[in-house]
Amino acid sequence: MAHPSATPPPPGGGPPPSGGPPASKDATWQQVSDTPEFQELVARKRAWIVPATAFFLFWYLLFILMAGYAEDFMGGEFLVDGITVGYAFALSQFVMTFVLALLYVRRSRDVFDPLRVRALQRAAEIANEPVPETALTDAAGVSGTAPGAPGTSGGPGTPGTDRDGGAR
Amino acid sequence: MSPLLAASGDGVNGLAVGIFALVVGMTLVITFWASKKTTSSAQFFTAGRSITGRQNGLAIAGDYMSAASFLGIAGLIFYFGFDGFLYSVGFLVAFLTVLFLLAERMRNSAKFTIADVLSHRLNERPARAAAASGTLTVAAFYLIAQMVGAGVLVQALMGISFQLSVVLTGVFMLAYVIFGGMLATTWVQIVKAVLLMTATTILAILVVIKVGGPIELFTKARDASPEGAAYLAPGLNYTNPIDTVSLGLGLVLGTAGLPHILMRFFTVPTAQAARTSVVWAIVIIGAFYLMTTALGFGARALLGGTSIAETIDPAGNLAAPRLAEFIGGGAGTFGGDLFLAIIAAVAFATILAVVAGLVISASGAMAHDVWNGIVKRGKATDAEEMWAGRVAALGVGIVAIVVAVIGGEGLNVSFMVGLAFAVAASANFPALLLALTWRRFNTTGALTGVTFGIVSAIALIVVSPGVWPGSGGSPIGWDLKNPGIVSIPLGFFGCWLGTVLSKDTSSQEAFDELRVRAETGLGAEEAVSH
Repeated sequence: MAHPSATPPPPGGGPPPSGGPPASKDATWQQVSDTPEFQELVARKRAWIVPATAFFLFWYLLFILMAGYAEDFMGGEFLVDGITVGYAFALSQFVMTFVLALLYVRRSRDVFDPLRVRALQRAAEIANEPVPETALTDAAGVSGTAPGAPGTSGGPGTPGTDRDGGAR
Repeated sequence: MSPLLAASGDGVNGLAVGIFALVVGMTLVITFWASKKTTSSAQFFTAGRSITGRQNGLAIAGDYMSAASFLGIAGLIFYFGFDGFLYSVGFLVAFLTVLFLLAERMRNSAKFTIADVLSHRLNERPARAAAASGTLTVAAFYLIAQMVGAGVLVQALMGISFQLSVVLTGVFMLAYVIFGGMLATTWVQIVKAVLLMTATTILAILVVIKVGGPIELFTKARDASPEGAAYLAPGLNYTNPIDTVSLGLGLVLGTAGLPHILMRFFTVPTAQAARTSVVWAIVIIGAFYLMTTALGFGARALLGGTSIAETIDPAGNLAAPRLAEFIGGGAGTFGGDLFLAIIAAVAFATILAVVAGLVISASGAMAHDVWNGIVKRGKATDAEEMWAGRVAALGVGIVAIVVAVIGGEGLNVSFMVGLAFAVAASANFPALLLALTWRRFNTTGALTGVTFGIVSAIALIVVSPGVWPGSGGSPIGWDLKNPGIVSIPLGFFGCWLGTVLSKDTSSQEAFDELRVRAETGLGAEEAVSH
């Protein structure tokens, strides 16, 4: 495997020094793309996102189609006087949106982010340079460290944390 | 003056102007603070990528919830019950498309604009031209619609003329963007989101208490409606199911192509923060749309008994302000005037936050894509690009003000909003999604797809019945008001057709680059440290 560590950063607004593989551009992007770690990341994400997207589009379009073609059914009473089947269905869309968003965040934290860190570590090995710290930390605030400075904070030990508080 | 609302005195509503001056004063202080920090193009277009996920979630909500959402949907629910609520559902579910397909990938692979994503793997200048066309079309129509809406609302709520209302809105909008860039825009959006949520929550709680409980909201609104049980069932507004599906598709996919929403993901330091910000936005926007139901039903239950035609304007925009006045104690009382004034000021803040977001996204497309990317071939210096952004914002803003003033209240606002969402869903969204996921996709495909999407969306709206009121209807007998069900597939088809007709395979190797960038954040633009 090539170790094009001495090559300059790619031209034309490419990655900053600490970011991308400082490679003979496409060759190294290609190498990173071919690693089993990256392939697993892409495959696992697709396996979650495609069915989840299909599901929410189905549930939403079903709601609209029912509103269009089953007006009487949608206007029927649901459990209590005043709440119709249509409103219950509409509220289920809100619940679905909240639940799928939270499931996605948990899935990202538990599965996708660790895989992403492994893919980045392999990318760093290929480029034969330290893993870019800023790409590994998940700090939502501004990183105070100089770009590329090795391991002053965060680092590979904290891939899954979300200090911003959005993921609970 | 407004014959409807300026009940407490002659002409200008003094209390509303006072509260409004307080809100605007706060935004100008923010702008002054932000102007000192806006010293580079990354500061100007992305606030130095230093906005946290939670802040960005609030800002997305502030960027997204227009006065049309706040006053318009409350009015639609007031009039049409269930069918008014149908809109809100699509506006919320749309954020799943944004979260699953675009938010993190956009953060990882773009610098300032949508075009940056495409230009990683396509020929840069045509790709920037295609993406900038989509961005500018959406931003222009949405901006003019918002400006006209602002003029009508501010005129009604504060008692100043339409023209003055538009010019005032435009001047504040330009002040935020030109002096304070994305940092001021972001904080104006955050302040607006907090004000809007606070006012809506208080009003909704008071309404529920007044009505007697959440279930009573439904039963009393139904009993007060001349439609009776049909008020809580579909069918009062949307009578053509195909049209409703078309609308729904346009909302759910169009949001993921709105340039001012996508641009917000460039303001956070990491993809994780982008993800977090969508979740915050979903929570805020979802809660907001649930509460608008309380406002619409509350207006129906509490005001519906009185003469509706005299109480509420035909567009329904004044249902929520009227309700606030009633809850505060009624027209002419101090409480009523105060509540009305607060709602008016919040509505104005709402408009300002949305138009500022639109102007900065259009300015990014003009300065970063058209001027630096296409004309200067990327050779402009950082300072030049920032100043180009300011000049572009000024130009875009002045054009929008002039068109809104000349076109006046007669401009068809719903036509322009519909067009903005249709172009976003049919041109921007297909090109972005395919660039990120389809290896074979190439420059020709992007150009034909964006062209198909823009042209078909505009053509189908121009011939739609809403544009041809009166006896004849559409000149070619086209009876869908929303083009999405045809124009979105046409946008994807155009991307596919152009790709397979072209022999260009050069963008296939670069697909790996874009995908590694988008999925891992390798080579992503970093936050500016100070």
